Amino acid sequence: MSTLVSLPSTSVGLGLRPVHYADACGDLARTVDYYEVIADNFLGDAETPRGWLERLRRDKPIVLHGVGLNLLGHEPLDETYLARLRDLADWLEAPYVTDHLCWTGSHGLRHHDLLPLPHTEDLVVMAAARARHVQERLRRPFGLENLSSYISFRTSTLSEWDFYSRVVAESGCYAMLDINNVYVSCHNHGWDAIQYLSGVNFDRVLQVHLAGHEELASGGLVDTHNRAVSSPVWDLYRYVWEAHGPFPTLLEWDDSIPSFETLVTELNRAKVVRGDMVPADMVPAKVVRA
Amino acid sequence: MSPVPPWLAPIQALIGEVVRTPLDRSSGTFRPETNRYGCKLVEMVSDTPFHSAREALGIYNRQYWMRLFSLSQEQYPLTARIVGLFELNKVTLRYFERFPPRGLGSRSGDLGAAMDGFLAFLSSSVTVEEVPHVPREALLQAAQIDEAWRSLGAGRDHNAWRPDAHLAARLASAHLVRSDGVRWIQQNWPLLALRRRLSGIVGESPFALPPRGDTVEAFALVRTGGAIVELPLTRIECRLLQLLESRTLGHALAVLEAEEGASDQLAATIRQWLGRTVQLGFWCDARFD
Repeated sequence: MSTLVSLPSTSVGLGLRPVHYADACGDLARTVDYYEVIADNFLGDAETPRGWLERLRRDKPIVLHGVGLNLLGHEPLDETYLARLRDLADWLEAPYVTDHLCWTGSHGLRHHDLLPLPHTEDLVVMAAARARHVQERLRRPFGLENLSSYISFRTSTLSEWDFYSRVVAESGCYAMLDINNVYVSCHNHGWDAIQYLSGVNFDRVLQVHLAGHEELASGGLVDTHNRAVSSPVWDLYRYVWEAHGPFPTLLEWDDSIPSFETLVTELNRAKVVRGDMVPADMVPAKVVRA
Repeated sequence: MSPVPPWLAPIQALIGEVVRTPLDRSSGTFRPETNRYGCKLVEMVSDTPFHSAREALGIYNRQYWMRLFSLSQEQYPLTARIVGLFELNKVTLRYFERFPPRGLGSRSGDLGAAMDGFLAFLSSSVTVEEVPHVPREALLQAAQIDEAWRSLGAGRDHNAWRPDAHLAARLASAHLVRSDGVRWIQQNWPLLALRRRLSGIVGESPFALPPRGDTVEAFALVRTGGAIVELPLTRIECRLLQLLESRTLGHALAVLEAEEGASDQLAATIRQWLGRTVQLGFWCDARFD
């Protein structure tokens, strides 16, 4: 694990989607320090997309983010999936791999969503043991992402943030802290975001995610990744950065994906919020060649 | 590894049922039918400041179906545009009610794999009454074109097969194996052109089909680098490719000669075409009985 190159703690990165593969190799990407790709898209038999990764990784580090691990599914972890994930991470020399503290399928069926569970002591034990196993199999740091939640269970004996922090601590793994998810969960359940964040051990935070959410007619929030980061989430990011930074910061945008230029501008906003960039420099300049 | 809590599988079964509950479409939009959720799970879930337990569960139920609707629209874009999004979503809902996404196999995390049976489902299950504004033949041809694109995107890259000199004498008994980078399609309507034209144009309503052509057109779709090239096929070129799907080379040629009448010109056309298919990488292997 120690031989892997880690990212500088002030790095900013983009969640890269296929529509922007070509732009990601170009001039507009100058201020992007690294990329994150959805690992599951590269575990199948199709080899064509790997050509883009091969080209991209020559210039910038690529980290892997998974959505299909099903860490908390009642069925055993899929060792074939883990082996493929490790091969991909080795090939990319990915500094770390992340996935979610959730379940995505059960009884042989996949729901392709990040589903919650009651937060209990026995689930902490199971989750920590599995996460530790994943980290050992991947031979590199493994980060767990906190969820956006829309329900909570009466049978929970731990808060969402205690559950998250306990699993990270007891597994020896890392936190992939999604600031937007913290905001969405706290808004939906009436929790205090500062209290949520006070339980996070920032020495174990590999990376922070930022993304946009949607407000329902009811006033509840849904984590949609289909728009710019909201002002309250930027406020929360500023608070976390000032209180606990630095840490690598990554912007996700998965639906209604805008131009690469807009994405880079939004990512640069993180630097402005931190005071590392003046607003006038946010929009990436195109290089004009004679 | 530590044991799985005994309550885990039962609660995941309950949540899974709620998530997969079909949406109601009677109002002309898709809405969660929250009254269909089992009481056992609802009683375990707290109300939130914004939602009752049932409404909150409905967010997951709706997200599940919206993700699958987006999937079918992305993977069958031409079909979606001529059928209309709402109609395609109805078919998608029926498909996934019957074949919910499963997690077994090497593509367990790949949501796209959940659509592997969609073309067969469309062919066997969609009635004329369900999509009255699109001729059934056009619907199936559009779906086959979308499926060809889809499989070209997901297929493996192969080394192209090149026959050695010592194989020449045995070629008649060879089954040529088509590369995953090649598909062929036929169309009576200018569907490929329509697919190109509609690419990137957003719209939910059905797009009117152009008039049916006088003749059937055939194309090979060939993946080269990151792009897919459309290669028009003559009637004889197309027929030979069809015959080779299930016959040895020798048998396919014999059938073609019987259909067309043997001639020097036909033999030259076939030789030239076969040589070109090899050059373009249509085949990844030759198998012998």
